[in-house]
Amino acid sequence: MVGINQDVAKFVVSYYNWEKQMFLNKITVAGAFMFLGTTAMAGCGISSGNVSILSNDFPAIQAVTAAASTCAGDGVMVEANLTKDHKDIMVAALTANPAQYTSIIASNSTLVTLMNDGLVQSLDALVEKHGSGLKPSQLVTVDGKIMAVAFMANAQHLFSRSDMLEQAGVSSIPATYEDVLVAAEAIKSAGLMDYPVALNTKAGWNLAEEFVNMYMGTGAEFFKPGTAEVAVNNDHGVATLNMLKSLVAYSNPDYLTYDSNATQAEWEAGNIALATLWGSRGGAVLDGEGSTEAVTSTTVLTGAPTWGNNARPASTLWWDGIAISANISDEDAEATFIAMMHGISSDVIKANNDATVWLGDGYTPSAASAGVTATAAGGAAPYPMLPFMGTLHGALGAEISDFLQGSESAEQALMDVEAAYTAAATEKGFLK
Amino acid sequence: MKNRTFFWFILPSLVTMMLFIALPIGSVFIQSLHIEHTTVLKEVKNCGPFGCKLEMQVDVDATSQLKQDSPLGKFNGFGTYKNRNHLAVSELSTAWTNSPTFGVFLSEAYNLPFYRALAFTLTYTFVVTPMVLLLGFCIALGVNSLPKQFKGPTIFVSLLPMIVTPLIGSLILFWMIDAEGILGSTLQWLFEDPNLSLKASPK
Repeated sequence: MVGINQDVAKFVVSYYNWEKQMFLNKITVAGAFMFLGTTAMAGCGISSGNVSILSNDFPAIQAVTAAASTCAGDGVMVEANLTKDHKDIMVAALTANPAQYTSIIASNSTLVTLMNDGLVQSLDALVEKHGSGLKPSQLVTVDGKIMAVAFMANAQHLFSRSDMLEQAGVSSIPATYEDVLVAAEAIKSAGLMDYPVALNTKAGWNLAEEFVNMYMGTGAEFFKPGTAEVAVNNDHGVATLNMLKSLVAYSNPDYLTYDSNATQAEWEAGNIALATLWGSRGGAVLDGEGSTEAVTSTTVLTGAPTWGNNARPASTLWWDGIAISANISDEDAEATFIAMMHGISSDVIKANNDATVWLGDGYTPSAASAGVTATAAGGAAPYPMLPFMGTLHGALGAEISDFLQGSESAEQALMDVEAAYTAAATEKGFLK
Repeated sequence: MKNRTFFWFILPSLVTMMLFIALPIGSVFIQSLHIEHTTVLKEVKNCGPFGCKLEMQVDVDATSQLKQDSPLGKFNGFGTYKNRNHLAVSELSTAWTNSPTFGVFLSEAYNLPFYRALAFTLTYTFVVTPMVLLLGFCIALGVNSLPKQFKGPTIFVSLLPMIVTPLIGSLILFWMIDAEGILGSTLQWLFEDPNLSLKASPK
């Protein structure tokens, strides 16, 4: 059913996006009016140039691009393409000369992919000229050169329903995945829910991200140090797979189709009590829109759990930030940078405080960001910025669902991951 | 038509077909015999919101020099065709020599991405297509033998799925086969397996 499932899933995703878009359009229009008040007077100070932005699609980024769009005016065009498929189109779009987009909102993983082909430019000069309001910690430097300006942090962490835990006789919010399993069993055996647990386990990128998070919690390395040779087929890898399998045993049988949109909807519908979701969904979950008071008032956001007697939270830290294409004119690069600085200014941060964990000035930590902050404070590691990590992520996404569905052993699944990675990395020139 | 006239008549289509069909196929074939250059890696210091770390990074200058010198990449012959992610020749022959039975060999082959996709396509072709023809024929025969006053409404109802936009149709089916949908939960009840998921079916 794989082929058909994916097609249908795409329809569903595009329907979701359409629905969200309708909703967001309303906000964006309202937001645009709000910003116009300030920008018309202050202006962005751009006299000419084109700005076109490619990015992922979630509320915080909507706010940033909407604010950047207010810089449009005499001789300045601002366009934005917000899509979940940005990862698939970004390399082709930025390889063109001139590039189709002048800016891309990148993350730890996508920035590396772009840098592998030299598709983004150093921002040293632009930051010096126009980046006076930035904090030093927002500058993402690679080999001494500023390659991106991070504006928000994100991580997957635990969402729990305190009322369900209480009714099941669980006294505290689980701090480890072993505790999560105990709590899930308690909720299930108390007859409160059949499937209390959800992770973003959609086969492909999402499922692989869950593996990466869990594996990072063991502190083990993905590759042999200093090489591109994969090293996940070990005791840590097997334990990681077994932990994932124990967790999905408490998930809805359709768990292999669960992405962020699906898990957020399930949470808001009150169908799940323990979930590892993206921090950037926290604001949307808590805002009461699409959910009931009973769910939002008992939703507790805490740091990502640890497991297996390790101290490091089983999650990866992510940043999203602004990168500027290499294949564009200096005029467009400057216009883009100014517009994007406007998009992440402290006014925008203040107006959208709860949308995410902002890194810039003007941000006040809130309940929606407690989970990400706790995960970072707990010592979670950032997602590895390795050139070949994306290839491994792809191999994981394709091969580990066989194990979760019980059609092969953990060792066999990891052997398949390594074989698929090795073949793909050889084609890409990372391995000889 | 004279040969000469015929030649001039088809020349425009011939040229466009050469340009947009034949040449790209040839180009893709030549490219498929090459893989990317061995990337030059260097260890650099990466800093960001979460601190600094020494990590491997692509040496873009050195790598792009390699690319400039030979843009096609490294010649690899039929290596890409034969590797595990495609025809998996060596994996298949190992499985053949090591498998005690033909069944074990088949399941090993089924674990390889290309052969799994092939098996899916073949199953679809030989199971679904005949079923569609046969069932359609049965419905047609059934409708034909109905009394006249029921014929019109029955034809209308049986053709309804064809009228619905494919996108809406597949969306409806997607919801119906959900573990909580009418088909999904009926199947779970029928097979007494609460973990049955049609949507996440591995095959």
